[in-house]
Amino acid sequence: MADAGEGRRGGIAPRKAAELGFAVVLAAFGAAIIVGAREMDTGWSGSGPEAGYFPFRIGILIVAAALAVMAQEAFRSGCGEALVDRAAAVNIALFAAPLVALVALVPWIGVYLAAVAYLAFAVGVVGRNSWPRTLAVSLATPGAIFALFEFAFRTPLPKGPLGPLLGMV
Amino acid sequence: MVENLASLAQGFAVALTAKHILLMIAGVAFGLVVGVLPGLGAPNGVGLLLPLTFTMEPVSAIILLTSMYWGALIGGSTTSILFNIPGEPSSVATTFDGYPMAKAGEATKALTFAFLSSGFGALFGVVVVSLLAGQVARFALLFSPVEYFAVFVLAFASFIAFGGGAPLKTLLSILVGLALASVGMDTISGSVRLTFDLQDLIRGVSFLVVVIGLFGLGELFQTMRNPVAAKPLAMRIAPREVVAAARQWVGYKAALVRSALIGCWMGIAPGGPTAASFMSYGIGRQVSRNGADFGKGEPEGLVSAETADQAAGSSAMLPMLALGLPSSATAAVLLGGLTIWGITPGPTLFKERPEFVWGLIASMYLANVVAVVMALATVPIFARLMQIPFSINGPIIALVCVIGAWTVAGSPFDLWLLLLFGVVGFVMKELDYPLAPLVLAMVLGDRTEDAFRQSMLLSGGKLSVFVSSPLAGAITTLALLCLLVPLASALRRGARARFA
Repeated sequence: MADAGEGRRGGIAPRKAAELGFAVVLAAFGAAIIVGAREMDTGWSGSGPEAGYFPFRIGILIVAAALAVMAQEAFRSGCGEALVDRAAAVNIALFAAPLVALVALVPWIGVYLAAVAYLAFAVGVVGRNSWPRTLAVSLATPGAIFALFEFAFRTPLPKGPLGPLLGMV
Repeated sequence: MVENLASLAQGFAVALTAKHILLMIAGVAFGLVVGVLPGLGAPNGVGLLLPLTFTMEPVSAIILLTSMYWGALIGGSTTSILFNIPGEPSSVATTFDGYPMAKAGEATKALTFAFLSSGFGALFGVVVVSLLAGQVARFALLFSPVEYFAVFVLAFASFIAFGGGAPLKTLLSILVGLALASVGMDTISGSVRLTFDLQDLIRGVSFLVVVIGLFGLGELFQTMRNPVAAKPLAMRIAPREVVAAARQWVGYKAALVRSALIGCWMGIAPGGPTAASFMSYGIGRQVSRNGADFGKGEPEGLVSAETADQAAGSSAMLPMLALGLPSSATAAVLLGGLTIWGITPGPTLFKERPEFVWGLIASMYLANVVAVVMALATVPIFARLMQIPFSINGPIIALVCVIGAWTVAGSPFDLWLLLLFGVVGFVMKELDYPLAPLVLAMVLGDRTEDAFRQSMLLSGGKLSVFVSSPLAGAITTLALLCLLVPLASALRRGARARFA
């Protein structure tokens, strides 16, 4: 709570804007559901309500509720405290970027190689831990995961180029 | 009653095998870790572990996962007391008095009180489940699709009324969950819908991926805003202090029973552990002689919150098994698990799979005792996990979430969904949209829709079918009354503002 004042000063995304923005996203989602449901039959057939019947109505309710949230926010005075200050936004971005890379890499080079690269970058470069520590974490964690998943849980994870190397699929 | 006891004895025969006791210990240990670490709450923890149980025997799988839940509920209170950081949403009320107690040098007493109260609440809840299970299941046999739909609506309505979130936002959360559930194969006609020509959406949106994203990544993003390692209070548990604290704890009989009853009520009539702990804390402050000291380190406040939390958690198993109606996010994930293991929850489950139902109930007695003992024995170790810098913890937990999402179906698409729901979870938490109703609606979505369409079919499209039978009418009325609660409180606020 100590950084609330700071949040207002260097803040981005004031609460009111964020509320309105997210309500717009929800309304768009609701509209997409309506459009998707309209591709099906939204009415009745001989066997009762059709596949689009229920989603169509849910979509309409989502749009209506999102509009109600927007109306509520529009009449609220002031723009509220900022949700995220600049430093926090940087922290989140630095956390999210390697994670996106991890997700992109897993199908290509498998979980284990991607995990080593991800941890080395996130713990060492972003987290600024010492190199011995970084090395220990980024090798020991995938190692432990390998032992657990391949042997204990018998749930093989994708290994990428590592698979043929180890003689495993 | 007597038949319940006989069934329970059979349940103990199932639960009291070496394998199942080991699973309980493993589950509780995993739960304690999950409850302590940020980004790994109970719903997410159960979600991560669930895909690994697909090949297990259902009763072993549910014992492992529920034991984890009990461990997480207790683990969550550890960090509430030592660091003022609730490990679980349901342990927020525990921080109110737990942390001031610890700050005043009474950490051991606070932890002992919390664990014993949790244990008491849980056992109270299990006893209620054991006594009522047979009756509730028999009652549920009277249900047709019409009653089921009314019950689902009641569950959603009671979240809107008692969930503590803004009513409109809770409603949106529910609707989004229902919409997500309808993506993919339509369970009645078999046609594929709402896929927007994406191959990957044909099998639907996996609720496990959504849970891991919303609860796991979402919370990590929140923690990453200001990642400082928590500074704990000096902590060592002396057995003698534990015994002394336990002696004092026995003096809080009235508070314990009161809170356990509130917890059971909120666990069975959907509200869930979070709502239960807040309600019990609020009622305790009103009726207790020590009410004025609540929030300043009053043990009774801690007892009120913890007992109700765990009582609600365990008694929530009753509607989950008998009606297929979860009253918390974790129960919803467990319910999704039942379906994956090929078990249909509902009244017939008690007849067809007694070893499953009663094995689970019996395991709840044992696992909660295991959880209390293990929590007392291992708190210093687990508390140390919180001291690992978050620059190391955070990426490891994120990696675990990614792997967890992969194990659901081995699909790259799911990983992108995971990221998407991580962002959505972060925004929803920031803007006070409750997450639990979304998960609940996602898990119940198909059955809600089926019940609705079957009811419409039965009535020829008349909505009046939901008030036509006395039972359905009563449930529907109750649901509508729930929806009036937020309206009434808004009117009261308005009136007060006018006269002020």
